[in-house]
Amino acid sequence: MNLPNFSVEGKVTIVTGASRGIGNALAKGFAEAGAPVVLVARTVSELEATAEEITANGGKALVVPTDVIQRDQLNKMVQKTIIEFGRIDVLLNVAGGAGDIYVIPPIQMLEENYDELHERNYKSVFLCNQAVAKVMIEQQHGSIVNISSLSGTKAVALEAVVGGLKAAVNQMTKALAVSWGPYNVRVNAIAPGITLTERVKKKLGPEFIEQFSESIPLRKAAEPEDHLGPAMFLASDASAYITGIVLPSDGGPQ
Amino acid sequence: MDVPDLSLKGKIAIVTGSSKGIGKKLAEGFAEAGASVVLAARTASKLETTVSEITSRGGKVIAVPTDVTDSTQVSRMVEKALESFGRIDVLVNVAGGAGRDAFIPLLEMEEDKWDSIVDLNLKSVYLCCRAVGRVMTEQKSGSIINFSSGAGTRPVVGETHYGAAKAGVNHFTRVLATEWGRYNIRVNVISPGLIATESAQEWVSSDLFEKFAKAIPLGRAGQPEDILGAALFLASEASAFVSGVIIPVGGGPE
Repeated sequence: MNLPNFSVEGKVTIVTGASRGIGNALAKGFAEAGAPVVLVARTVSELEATAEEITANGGKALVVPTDVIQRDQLNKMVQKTIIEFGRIDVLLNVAGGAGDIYVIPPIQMLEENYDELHERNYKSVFLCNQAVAKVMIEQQHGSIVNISSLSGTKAVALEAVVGGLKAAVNQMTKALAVSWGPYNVRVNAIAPGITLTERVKKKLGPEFIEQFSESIPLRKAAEPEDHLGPAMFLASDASAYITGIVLPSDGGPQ
Repeated sequence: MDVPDLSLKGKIAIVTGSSKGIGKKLAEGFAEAGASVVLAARTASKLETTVSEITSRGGKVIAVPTDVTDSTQVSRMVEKALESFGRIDVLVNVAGGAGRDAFIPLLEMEEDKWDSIVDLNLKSVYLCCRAVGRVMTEQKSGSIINFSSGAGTRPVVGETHYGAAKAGVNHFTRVLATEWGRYNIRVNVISPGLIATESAQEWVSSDLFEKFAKAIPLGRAGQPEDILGAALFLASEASAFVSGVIIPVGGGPE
């Protein structure tokens, strides 16, 4: 009996938001598992450091500095990927987040803050999905994984805007799955809970993190690497019949 | 970085409903992935074929004929598993279904039909989780996979009994994941869509089955293998941070 294939070896994978945090961990993990990875983010220096690390471990990485809300830059990124690797099997859409806007209460949020969140957490997701799906539909295969957030289902005081946008990403994911299913292009989302990236650790502090972890059923907050298993599952052929789902990766219902 | 895999090497898994269809496939697949398997189903004779198939491939397996709606028999199933293997790492509750009683308008629903469907699909999950949970909470580890259905989220005419029982399984799972997270026990659901098993094809005409399959975004009905990928993911360490989730495996959003 052949077991379902969980491997991503040889699968050409684009990772947005690859310079830091979850995107960085997923890019390194996929490379370690044998996937050629295309590293996408705005800051060249961070991407190059990641690429060096991957190459030193015997992996393949291509750096394409890209602002994911610029359609022409995305199209160029897709072209470079095709020139280098010939096809695109997987898109891990991680770019997003709220940065320093996170701490602004909704009542004080400026329109420009709102616009930035909208562009970074929703528009970018659509543009990336669309740019990559053009290739995947042509190929008649592909797996897209959008990184959403627990805040898309759980109401969090400071995340009125980001939470709303993440809920919208969940729904977009489901609708795109229906739209592109006939071309054998799968679209799913992972919804991580609070994840202890360097930035989050600095922002929240150890005391809050310890307290917060007690409210999670599995009694720990996620490390970026905790999302690697779910991402590999949705990217690989082990999930060949799964599309349009939102998979929480949060240590239990919250 | 450790790359996650779907290995179940050294794990002890109980699979209910393993005499045919999805349960049989999962039992065989789990054995292939390295688990020692306890087969549970009502009909002893049907389990014997699966036992010899797994044994012939070098797998470790025992069969314990069990009616999962009977708490005494469920306790015995757990005792037999412990006698043979000493621990229980994974419980897969596949037993369930509605067979020829799948579609009954409520005004024609006799009380005994209602009870038998709810007992088989919901009470059985409670009984098996409780009996195995006594072991897993002691061990401080375990993964439980319950089986639901699209009928538990989407209203299907004539399925008040089955739909309510499966919706019950979904919520039971989320509550139990919250309750037992502190013991490092994960509880999740797989919710299959249209799967080409013998019994599914028995009570739906082939024309209707084809019509259903064509309406699915991925354009085909699922195979038992498709369920195996999701089950291996949830049983293995690849999903160590995933608990209380419902994974629809249906070729499109639920």
